[in-house]
Amino acid sequence: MRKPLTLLKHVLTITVAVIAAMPPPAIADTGVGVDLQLGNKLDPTGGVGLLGCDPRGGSWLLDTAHRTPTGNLYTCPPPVRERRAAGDWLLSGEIDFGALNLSGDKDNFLFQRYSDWSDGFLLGGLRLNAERPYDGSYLDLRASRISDHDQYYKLTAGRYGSYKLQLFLRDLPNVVSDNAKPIWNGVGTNNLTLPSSLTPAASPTAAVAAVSAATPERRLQINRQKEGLGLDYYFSRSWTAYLNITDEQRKGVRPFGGSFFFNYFAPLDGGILETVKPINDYTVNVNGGSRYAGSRWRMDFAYSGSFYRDHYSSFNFQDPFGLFPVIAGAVSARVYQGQFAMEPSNDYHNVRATLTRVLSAGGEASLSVAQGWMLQNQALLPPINCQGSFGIDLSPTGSPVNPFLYPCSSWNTTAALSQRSADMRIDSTAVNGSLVLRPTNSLTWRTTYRYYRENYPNSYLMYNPLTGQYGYINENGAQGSVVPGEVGFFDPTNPTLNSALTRVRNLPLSTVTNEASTGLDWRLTPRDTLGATVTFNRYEPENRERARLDATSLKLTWLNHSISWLTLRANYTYLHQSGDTYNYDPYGFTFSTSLAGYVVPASGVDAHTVDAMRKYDMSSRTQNKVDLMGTFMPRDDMTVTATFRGDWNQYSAVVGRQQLNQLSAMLQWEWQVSPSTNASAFYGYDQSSLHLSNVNETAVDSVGSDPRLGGAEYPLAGLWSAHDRQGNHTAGILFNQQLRRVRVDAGWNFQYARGTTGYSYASPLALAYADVAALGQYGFPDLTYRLNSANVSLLVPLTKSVSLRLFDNFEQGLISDWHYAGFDQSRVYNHRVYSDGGPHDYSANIIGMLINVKL
Amino acid sequence: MSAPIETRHVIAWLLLAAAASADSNPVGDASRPPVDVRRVTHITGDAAAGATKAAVCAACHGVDGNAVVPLFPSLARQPVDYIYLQLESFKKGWRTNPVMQPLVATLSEQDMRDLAAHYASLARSPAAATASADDVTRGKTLYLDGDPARGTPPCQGCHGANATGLLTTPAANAQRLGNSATYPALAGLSSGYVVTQLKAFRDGSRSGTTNALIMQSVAQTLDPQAEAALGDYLATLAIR
Repeated sequence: MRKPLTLLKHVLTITVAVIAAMPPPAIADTGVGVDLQLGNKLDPTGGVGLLGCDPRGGSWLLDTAHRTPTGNLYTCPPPVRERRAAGDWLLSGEIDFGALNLSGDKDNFLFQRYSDWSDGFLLGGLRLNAERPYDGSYLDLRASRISDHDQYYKLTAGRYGSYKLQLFLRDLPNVVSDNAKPIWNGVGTNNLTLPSSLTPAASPTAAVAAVSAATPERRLQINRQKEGLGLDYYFSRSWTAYLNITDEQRKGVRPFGGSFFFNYFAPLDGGILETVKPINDYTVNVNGGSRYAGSRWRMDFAYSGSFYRDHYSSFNFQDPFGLFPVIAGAVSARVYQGQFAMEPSNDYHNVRATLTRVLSAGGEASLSVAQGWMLQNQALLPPINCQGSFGIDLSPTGSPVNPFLYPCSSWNTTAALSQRSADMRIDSTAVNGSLVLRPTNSLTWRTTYRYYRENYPNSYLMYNPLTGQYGYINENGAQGSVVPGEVGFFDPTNPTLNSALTRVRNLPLSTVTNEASTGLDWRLTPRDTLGATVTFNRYEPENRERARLDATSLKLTWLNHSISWLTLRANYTYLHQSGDTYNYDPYGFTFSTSLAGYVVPASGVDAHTVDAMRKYDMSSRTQNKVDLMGTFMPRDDMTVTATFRGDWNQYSAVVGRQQLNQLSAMLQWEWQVSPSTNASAFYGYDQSSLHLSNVNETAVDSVGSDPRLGGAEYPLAGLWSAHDRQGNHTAGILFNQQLRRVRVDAGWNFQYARGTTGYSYASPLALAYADVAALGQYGFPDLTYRLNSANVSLLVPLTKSVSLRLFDNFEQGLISDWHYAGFDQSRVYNHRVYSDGGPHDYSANIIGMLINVKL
Repeated sequence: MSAPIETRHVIAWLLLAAAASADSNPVGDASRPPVDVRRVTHITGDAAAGATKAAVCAACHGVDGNAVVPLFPSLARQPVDYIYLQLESFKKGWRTNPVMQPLVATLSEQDMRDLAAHYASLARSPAAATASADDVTRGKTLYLDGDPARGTPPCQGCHGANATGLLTTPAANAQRLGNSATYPALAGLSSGYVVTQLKAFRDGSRSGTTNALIMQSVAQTLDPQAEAALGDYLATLAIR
């Protein structure tokens, strides 16, 4: 069964025993928490947001709201809990329970995305707290239950300055579709089979369309369940130890792919299927270590581990459509089943040590060293799972030989693998050093150095010892059953396969990064600080288009407090990236062309890509970035924040990404009138603009070896460009007010996102399908997403210990996404089958009533 | 020349007995909500007029505002607002003391302002101290750094790095933030007075205002040794 879970229980048992045996040191609790903020869509704050504000304010020092050093208002402190004594303990608690009533499009997946709301009873929240003042012991329980898949429970116990133990369980749903119509049986398993009314590899489009139309719409969702344990122990004022262990299981179904040859290219051949993939996996994360924090030295020794396991190793699905070869009279083998390998099990380990020495006058020197290992040694699947044969049968044409038909038995066994398991690993080494000196009170000098190396020590050559052939079979045999020779493997001894250009080995992507930076912060006056930082980054990847990529940046900063009611911050960064010679094809060694016996075809080896292509991460680039932020304090209880950010990137590429610009602006207003009255509003806008270009290759096969832009393979007539723009508006208003005994909370949120993609092309050759040119279009329809949500809540005290909370949440979504246009009519087109109907408009409302009882 | 001083000494010793009795029998009303003094208005007064009204005060607090008897506080160079707030507190019963309350009861609003201005204009002398150097050093560390292990905040945060208060001049007071001008200057106070007041904050007998609430929580983190060390350190300081 689940060994890590058993291990978790053992660790928990041992941990509790160790805690019990430990002497209790009496020092302050600095706290290292479990990795999760618990909450749900009904109350993302996990109960904190419902408590209100302490009417006495936040401090006996000042009666005004407190501000951060940059001028923002802190949120108000919650009221002090009323507690009652029980022996040595002081107890407090409250429970919220009640019911919801949903109306409208309550099943819409956008409405239910991260929730599982339904009509009926719910436990809104349970908060129990016990403290024993004389030794600082405490116990805290928090819980909420909306449904089986939307709930959390957290128990925290400890003694201030001694230890803290946290245990939690959390269920969170992720609804990804409310209108899926998968045609298969076995949804949720790793084996999708067609219903009896359809014949694998032999069903007509109309029959598949009829099954799809008759399939009821269903919800697809993935449920995440996470449980965890966290322990902090304080050996002394300086030494602490911590251990966090979490286990997250994911179960459910999501839309996935499944291709059987190029259906757009050949509308009545093969099939393109949107399958539904099972999700049944889990990840155990471990994070533990010990820290020392002294007045002069600080140390941190830590281990992190992550362990991923999938219940399934493979995922199979049946294809309803037949395959037909491009050779007249020939017959495709009956390949009716597709296969995917699931995500492989893998382990990650990382150990690290950090040593910091505090220097005089506020200086600091720090060195951190880390070593990591990513290991993946999953048992490999046979290259194909067919029975009989795959490929093209020429015998109906009268051919005496069948060079394009291959026996499944040579490939459907692990004996067809060059090794039985992946045996892959990536080792990483990181060294970080920093030195901060303050030569004068007004000057701070910072210098950092970072070294990071990722090494891929192992390699994999896909070689079939049963056949002496190399490579991976395409689409479980489908492509080779349509086009002769395009089966995906290379055979140096077979004249039909000794020129096959195919991938035969893995691509190691080892990298080394060296980065150094130095900078000064100069406090010009007590209210003016200027800063300048120069950073040099050298990135040296293996098997990429460049062996060396250098980036130099200059960052200037200005912080000004000279006006008492205003904090201004301004940053500007200039970055230039370039490198050594760009090699458009560094991947030759991973293809069959690198193997002995490869015969170069008469037309030459097809060019990997056009030589003018510049991949965006390897491209030379110039970046200008500006951040401006003003925090205005017109009154003690009011803040207005205005921000502007701009990021302009120009790429040196004729083909590839050419420009990426991003702009954003935000205006925010917050007014903490009093502990009983708060109001805030915001408006934000951001936009991005992406320009890219590419070139389509000519349809003439005989000129494939020419990589030049404007050459025979990539003529200028094939150039096209696209301009993608995204604009988002967000706005919101929040308000709460104590009206005598009744507290009113109200809010409104608005989101509007619009995506536009336009394109231009030199000639119809540039288009994937030349006939589109006749439409005269130069762009896709806009994608828009508009969401309005409003909520109002009344908290009415009934007695000293009982309150009634009435609330109404309304949501409306208006979505326009052309990808799903027409799916309300049919999900089957030619040999293409779609399962998910996509996002759609909705309007839904929740009315809730919760009784709050102080225990 | 010396007779008036002797007279003041006699009065002082008589009042000392009453004050000591008051400290051992707190009469503060813990059930009453503290008076919120987080937002105060700066007051002004006539220092010269105040000097003419200080004869009775001088018996305990010294002619020059530096107390002769260790149990009484020196008032010289205390912030105007602090002195005024204490007089107001005695007058309105926010702070209880059987000696001070009857004396203040007869003062007018202007008297209190003038007296506050008068004492704020005087120089503070170090108190007579006999403590060991170790004790003073420990007190200095506590004052400047606090004691994180016990949750004691550094005293200098509210009373100034030199224990002279945060803002001690009228011009500075005019620009004060919040009520920091109502925090006392501690330099030169006698060790005995400091210890007595810390104890009073710790046991809750000095209360009545939000400022007292702050000191009550601080005093909870102090033990008698820490209180003595702080008192001994502060007694070595002066305000010029």
